[in-house]
Amino acid sequence: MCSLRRVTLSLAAASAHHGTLSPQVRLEALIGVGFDLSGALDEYGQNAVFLSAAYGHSAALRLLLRLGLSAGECR
Amino acid sequence: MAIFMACSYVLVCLADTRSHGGSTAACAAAARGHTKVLALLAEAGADVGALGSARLAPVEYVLRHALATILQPGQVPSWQPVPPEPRLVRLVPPSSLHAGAGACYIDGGVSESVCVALDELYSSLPMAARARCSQGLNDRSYYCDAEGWVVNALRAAVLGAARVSGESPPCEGEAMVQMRYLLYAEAGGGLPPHVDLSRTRRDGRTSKCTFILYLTDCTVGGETVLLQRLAQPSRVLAAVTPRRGRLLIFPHLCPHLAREVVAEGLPKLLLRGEML
Repeated sequence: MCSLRRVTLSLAAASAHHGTLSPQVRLEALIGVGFDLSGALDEYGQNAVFLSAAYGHSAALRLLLRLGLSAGECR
Repeated sequence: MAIFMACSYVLVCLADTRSHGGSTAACAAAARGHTKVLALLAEAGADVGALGSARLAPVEYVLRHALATILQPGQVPSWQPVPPEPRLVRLVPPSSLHAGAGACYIDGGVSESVCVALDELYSSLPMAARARCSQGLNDRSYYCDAEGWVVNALRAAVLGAARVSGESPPCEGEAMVQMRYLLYAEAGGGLPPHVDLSRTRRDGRTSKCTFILYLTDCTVGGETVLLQRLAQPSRVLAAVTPRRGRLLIFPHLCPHLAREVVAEGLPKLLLRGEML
């Protein structure tokens, strides 16, 4: 995965509490400019849904589930 | 109707997504006490009975958290594997002015059952492409211990060794969840003298030490060598022979190298990461 995607994932799903924007705003902005959050995995195989759940970002998780991202990475 | 079913399928798949190593989002959330998130995943159709990388279901993590809130601190069962007979061997005195002060290894702190579980975990991980020429002749597999079972085992080893030996390791023994396996499967694989980088956690705490947990024996070659200085030639402070279950801990800034593995010592497999 390219580093831009990793940064995107990290920013969007896991580091929301470090910024001034809410995770929803970040995610919506990223999706709005065309980032494919469903296909992006970090080197540990974690996608945005997994990271949101692991770090307890319920608002971000709710948004991701509501958006119904692609099921391409399902195993 | 078909569209509704398709949407439901997508949601269920998202909620059931697994990371490398088999952890589910539900297990990761439950292990860290995020019950609200767990409820959301269940609502989205996640299989909350599915076992994660520690072979535990989310409900077991929820029960553990619940017990911890109900019981007195001394009554809470220890979920960490109890090390059998940990033995701390000091490599660099803690009082030394060298960057490697406090470096040590622990034998008998990580049980064979944990090593077997780590073997199984390794076999389930994808191997990353060799990305850098400085990587050397080894292959890497990345694992994030989202459920914390590896972190718990390492903590138990360090605390157990400190208790038994009465000596302090060079760090708290709290491993970062991001880890990687290194596999040396070709003779000649090693690493030149170097120091390691630290890793900073989301809470702002930065690691101090590198840990290496050897998962195979190397009868010949493959030693991790702690050096007096980075520039060569350098005096050798200690040479640690890889032994299954041996946990080596040293400060990141301690110069070190990995001696080349030889055919008789193959394969050399280890788990590496950072500790606070």
